[in-house]
Amino acid sequence: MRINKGIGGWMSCLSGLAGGASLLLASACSSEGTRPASSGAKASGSSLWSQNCARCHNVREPADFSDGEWDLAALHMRVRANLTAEEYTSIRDFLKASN
Amino acid sequence: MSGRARVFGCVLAVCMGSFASGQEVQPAKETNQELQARLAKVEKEMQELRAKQEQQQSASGEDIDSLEKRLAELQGQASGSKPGKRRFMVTGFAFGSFENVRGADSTFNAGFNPIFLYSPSDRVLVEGQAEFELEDSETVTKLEYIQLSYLLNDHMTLGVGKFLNPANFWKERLHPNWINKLPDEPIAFDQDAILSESQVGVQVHGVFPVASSKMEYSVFVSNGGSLVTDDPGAYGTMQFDNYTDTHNSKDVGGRLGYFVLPELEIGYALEYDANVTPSSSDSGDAKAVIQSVDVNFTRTLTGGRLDVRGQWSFASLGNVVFDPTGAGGFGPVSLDNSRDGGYLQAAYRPSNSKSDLLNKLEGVVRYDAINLPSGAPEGVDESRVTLGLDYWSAANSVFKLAYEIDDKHGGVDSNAVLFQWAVGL
Repeated sequence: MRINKGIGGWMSCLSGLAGGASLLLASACSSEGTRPASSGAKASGSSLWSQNCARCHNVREPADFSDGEWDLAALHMRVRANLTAEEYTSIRDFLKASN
Repeated sequence: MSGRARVFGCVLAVCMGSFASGQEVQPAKETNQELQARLAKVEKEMQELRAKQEQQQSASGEDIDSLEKRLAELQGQASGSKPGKRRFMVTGFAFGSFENVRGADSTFNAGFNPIFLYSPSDRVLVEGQAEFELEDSETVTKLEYIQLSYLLNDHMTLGVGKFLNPANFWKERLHPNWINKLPDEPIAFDQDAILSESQVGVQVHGVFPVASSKMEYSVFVSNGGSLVTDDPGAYGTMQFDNYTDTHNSKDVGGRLGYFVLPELEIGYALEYDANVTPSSSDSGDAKAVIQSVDVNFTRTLTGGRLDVRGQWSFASLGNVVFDPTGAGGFGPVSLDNSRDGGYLQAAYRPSNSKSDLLNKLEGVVRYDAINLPSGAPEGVDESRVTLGLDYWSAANSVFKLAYEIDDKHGGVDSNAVLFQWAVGL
């Protein structure tokens, strides 16, 4: 099975990607890097932990890492797996509260 | 009541008893002697108690001094190890493997891929992965990637350096040996056959909400790959280790991934380069368009966990004449240079089984293939079906055994038995 498309189609796709990126860039200055976890962070953190981490690999036990290591491991996964800021803080706080 | 009070009460009682009895009857000489003896005994006991109490007070003082000293020491130690903003850790993965491929010598192999993470602040992450692998008689050392990331906001991260190819979901997310459920990788994504594993350049990526779901995205500009034009055994393929751009034409691309369900993501990726022919080559300009689709579905069922994945990539690399003057000894020759390949994989682990053995086993089946242009010098079309059985001794430790049924179209099939133990660090 092979697909061949004209360059116009590819450039349209790319323009769409770039357009979306521009819109997001416009909000770059006003938004915060992270948001505080909600009061129900532990409950939602648990489900987000199993849902997001298991998307690619087995979930690691909270006790596998120290609080400081979870800070960094969660940040790594936020960058690698494109977690939202809320998912990141909820998962990180859950893991630190459970290890 | 304290010991001293008790003794005093006792003496008082004795004296009062003596006084009372003296009013009624004259005490006998033996009685006075007895009383004096008792009084002397009580005085002695009092002295002993006083001495003991003083000793205890002294000991308590020493204990308090010792505790205060220890506390000061611990406070000093705690102050010395108080965590700062800067954070560093080493993670990654390692593996040991064995393969017996029909028509080749069976062999053991091993590899170690440490990932170094460093974060000087909440917004900055530096991640780098080194690769140490055994190949032939050498230990190959490679910088798999080094990416500097800055969190611009909740929805966007800036990344620069050599980063895992965002247009190649397999390589970016699933290729580490402790995540890959089979001992080897799909043909199309192993050894950069169609898509590169990394890019040298700059990217922005992130995620934003769409209705009740979310969409992740990435856009990058990089050196891209370089078309091989002068190798009689590989002309028409792409050389992706283009660390210093050889054609002064940048690769642009990206990926969009939409979560149809929390457990189901469908992605589309595109790479475009107006010209990938090296400046030094006398072959004409070749335009590269590589697009990929991927699907990833994971769901926990009553009995266990189901994991279904797939990715297919299509590369169109122009139609140029290789070795047009014949100086290379293999031309002139041209190709309809389009190729594609990918994989589909399903895995199931009865993780909710009551059996301690069954809940650690996972069955895997994968179909993968690569289709090359007619006349491609590097080989023939190939497809494989691989059956695997994994044993998870821990969440990050897996023993993988697989049998691979190979079908080289027009070539010699190379069925294989594969084994690997992989550990995530």
